[in-house]
Amino acid sequence: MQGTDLAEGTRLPDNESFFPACPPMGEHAEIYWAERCETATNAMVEFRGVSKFFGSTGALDDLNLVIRPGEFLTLLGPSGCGKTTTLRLLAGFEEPTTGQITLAGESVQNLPAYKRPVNTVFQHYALFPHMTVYENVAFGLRMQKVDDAQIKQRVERALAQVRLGNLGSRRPRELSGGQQQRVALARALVMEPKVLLLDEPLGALDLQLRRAVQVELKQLQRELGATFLYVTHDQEEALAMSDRIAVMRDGKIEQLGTPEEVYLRPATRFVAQFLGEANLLEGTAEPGGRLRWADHLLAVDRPLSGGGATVALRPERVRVIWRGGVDISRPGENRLKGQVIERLFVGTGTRLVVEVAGQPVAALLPPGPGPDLGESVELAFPADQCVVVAS
Amino acid sequence: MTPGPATSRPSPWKGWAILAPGVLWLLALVAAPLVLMLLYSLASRLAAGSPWPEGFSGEHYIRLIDPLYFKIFVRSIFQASLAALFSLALGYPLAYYIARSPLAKRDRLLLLVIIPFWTNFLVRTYAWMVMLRAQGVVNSLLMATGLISEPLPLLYNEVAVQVGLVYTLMPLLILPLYANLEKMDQRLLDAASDLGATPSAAFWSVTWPLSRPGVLLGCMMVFISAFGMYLVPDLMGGARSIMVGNLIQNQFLQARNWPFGAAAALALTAIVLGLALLVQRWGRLDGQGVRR
Repeated sequence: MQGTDLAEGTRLPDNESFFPACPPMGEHAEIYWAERCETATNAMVEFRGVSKFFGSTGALDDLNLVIRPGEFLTLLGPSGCGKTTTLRLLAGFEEPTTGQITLAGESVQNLPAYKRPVNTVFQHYALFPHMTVYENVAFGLRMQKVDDAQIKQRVERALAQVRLGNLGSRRPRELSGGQQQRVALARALVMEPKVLLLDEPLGALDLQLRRAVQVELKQLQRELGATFLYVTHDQEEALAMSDRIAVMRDGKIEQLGTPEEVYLRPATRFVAQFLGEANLLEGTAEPGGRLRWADHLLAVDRPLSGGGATVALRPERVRVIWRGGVDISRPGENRLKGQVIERLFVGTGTRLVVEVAGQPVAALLPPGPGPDLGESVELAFPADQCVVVAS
Repeated sequence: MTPGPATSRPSPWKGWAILAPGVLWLLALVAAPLVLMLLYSLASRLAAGSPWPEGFSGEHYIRLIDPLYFKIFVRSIFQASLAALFSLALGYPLAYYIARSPLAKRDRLLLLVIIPFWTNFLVRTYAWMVMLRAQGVVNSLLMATGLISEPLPLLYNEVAVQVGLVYTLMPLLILPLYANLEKMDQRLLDAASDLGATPSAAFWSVTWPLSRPGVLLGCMMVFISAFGMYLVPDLMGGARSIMVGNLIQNQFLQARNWPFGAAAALALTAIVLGLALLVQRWGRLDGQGVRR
């Protein structure tokens, strides 16, 4: 985690690298980014203190977010977390109740959607059913009164980009879901938007197709150097494609960071559980900075001070030592003794649930031999895999 | 699935048994009278004092081309087309507004459109006559304000007939158009706006073409009803504004020339049918995504 993708012009405190060894946790994360990006002169999009209420229901609560040029930023969260509202605010379909949104340095307040230089790929594509694929893609350029020859050239290029060059004369309903998705993409890309907004664009596709399109989308974004704001509730999709992920919950950003950061160093319980699987070990802080959990003292990734604390531990980071296995002892490791109470083959390995002092702990065993049900085992994991999370 | 036992298949007679009442109804009350009308229209005359046709000729159809009667057909088509156009101009904004209203309000507004249907047609037409006649509400008001000194001839002319037709028939356009606009995907308008379409551009390039089936159906309903209308021109029109409906009524009840009346009625039916087929084909061409 070095500052290789440091955005040009972003001023940093002199004594601090862009990515500190341990990024700030919990609610501090948001402030951290807000403080550091406030001075960014080349922020593509900036949300500053944006709240949105629908009647008395709050959808967004004091959102601060900076999107850098050329970045693939994903808003990730469960339904109702405010991610789509954030997107619609930038597109201009909704106006914020309070706060400011700037696009390429200029406020978009009171600028209607049809005047904003951003374009959207809608969740269910919203293709015009009475127009051909060509007419759909040409629609935006027609509205801009671009001359016909140039429209033809740009539409054909956009259709070629999404590999639909030969389907221009079809109607949307004559296309498969994946093809419709690509028409929606071409229709937005042909406008050369400052930011491309994607609202769960792959939600209607089956898993296999979704994986393929993920790769294509990421490649396309890299080639075009375009700024993408991507909304999804699919954590796998977010991890695979994003430069940065903003994990949202109840109208707030819980954590903002690279996929590695949010996955490996989750700031909150919610983030740890929403992205992948995590054991949450709840205990109390002991003098000396360790965690007392179920009669064990655990070394954790940073010194604890006073009161209750929770650490997140990924199952795939837990080493299982059993009768038939090899035990390579590593210094400073946490060790827990327990019994296997569940054993599931999950394809990429075997998922074990081990009961330790009455508490279940999940561990992912690589493919190959493993302990039997009911067998006594030992779990080993290093201190830096016990990530302290805010509740 | 394994093939079921043969008994699970309903016998074809069951289907016919269910259809029979409806089919009999249609045969007795639609097909039979039509055949009868066709017979009458091809008869030279009816035997005195009996309903039996006598002789056989096409003279009544030829007589329809006589400028005297032909003009009535042309005027009827003109009046009915105009009524459909006016209904569209007035009814489209209304249907659009209702379709975009919140759900609870929508039902109340629709009720307001339907309520006149529950009032007797004759009463409503007389109400218009009270409004428009020389000493009527409109003229009295205008004279009281001093805008005019003489009452305006608002009643017993073609304009009055047009007013009556549009007033009476507009709900027939609003209801199908509302049904069409209401089920239109709102997100398409978001998409149009997103791509730079102003609200009016979005309307003309998305809403209007997508509402075409509703527009066509609504206009057809108004046109067909107006074309054969006889009560409105009878009560609100003058001697020179009679329409096909009045012609048919006259031939049957006053002139006692049933064969000619039957010929006029069948001509009206044929024109309406031909038009309906034309519009249906036209509507389908675009509605089902056939490439242009």
